[in-house]
Amino acid sequence: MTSIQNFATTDPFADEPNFGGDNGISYIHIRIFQRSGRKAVTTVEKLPRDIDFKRVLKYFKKTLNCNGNLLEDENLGTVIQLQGDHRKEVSTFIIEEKIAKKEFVKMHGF
Amino acid sequence: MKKKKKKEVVAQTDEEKKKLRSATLAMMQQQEEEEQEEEKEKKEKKKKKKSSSAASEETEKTEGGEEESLENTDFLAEKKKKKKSSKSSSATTESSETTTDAVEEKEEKVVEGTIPWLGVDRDYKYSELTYRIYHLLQTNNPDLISDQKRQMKPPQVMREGTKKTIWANFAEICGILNRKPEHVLTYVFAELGTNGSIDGNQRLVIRGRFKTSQIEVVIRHYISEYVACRNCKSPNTILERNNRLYFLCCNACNSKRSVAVIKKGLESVGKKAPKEQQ
Repeated sequence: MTSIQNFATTDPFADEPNFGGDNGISYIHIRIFQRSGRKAVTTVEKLPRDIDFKRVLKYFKKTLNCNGNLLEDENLGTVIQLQGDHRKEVSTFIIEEKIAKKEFVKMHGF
Repeated sequence: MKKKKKKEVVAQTDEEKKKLRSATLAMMQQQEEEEQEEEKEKKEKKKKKKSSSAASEETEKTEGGEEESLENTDFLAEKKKKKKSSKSSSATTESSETTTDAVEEKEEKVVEGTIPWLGVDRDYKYSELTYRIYHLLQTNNPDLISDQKRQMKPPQVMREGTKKTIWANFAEICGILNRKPEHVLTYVFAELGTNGSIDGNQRLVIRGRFKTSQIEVVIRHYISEYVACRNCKSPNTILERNNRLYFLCCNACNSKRSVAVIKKGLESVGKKAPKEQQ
């Protein structure tokens, strides 16, 4: 009977405020934020942790001709930030390098 | 030269064969051609009908959704009439079918027109069968088959100054989608990576420059994610909160599925803070 006690004690959702339908599947979110005028910033969230972020960032910067940055976030982990709207290029890169499948890459924004 | 002659001979035989074939198949081909022409005519009529109905719907769209359904029924009735007329013309061309069809027409008017192979000893064509099933569906329960695309009102987007965008018919669109404005609002802001507010006239003020097309894309994503039922694609759904989770309940097919919580890229929070300080 001791093992059954485990069931009711803790609320599994208590420390997960963002619990949603996509839980368990880690989507890679590609977002865009508008800056002034035509300028924009692309962010890539929730890349798998085992990739070499610095190398990926360097590759992006070189191929996309833009500057970029690595951001550390409490919830999202490391986030790649790129100057300009590079959502399509980033998603094709992720799919072609088999970092994630197409279904798990979510492109946000307009 | 010999070869050429041979070839000619062969060609002649071929031609003869062709003639024979054509002679034998003439009847069949003629029939088929006639039928095809009829089908084409029907299709054209349908197309015309559709276009005209679409135009009329667009004009009358502002008057609400109930009229659309009414229009649908009217539309079907008209279609039936058309089919009847075309069928009668075909009946005159094909003598064998005239008698049977005529009898059919008198006996049951609903199924009439959908069985062109009646009394003829041949295989059913795919097109005929699909035509028949669609026709039956339309007559019996038109809800299942409404093939017209559901049209959304285009969002009215204006620019206020250089930095703000106003979405004028935001509340109206939320009403059409049957969703709370707050939910749509959070989704829109999360997608666009900006923030904004609702002003006194229920318009949405978004920070940043956005075109109508861009807003449309966002609405489309929203519909596919939070409005359309995954199973039957019906927009007749309800979003209800249950146990901290959002569930999308379909009124048409009773399916239920959990829906992802709208997450903002936390990036934006970090970026907005310095902007607001300025």
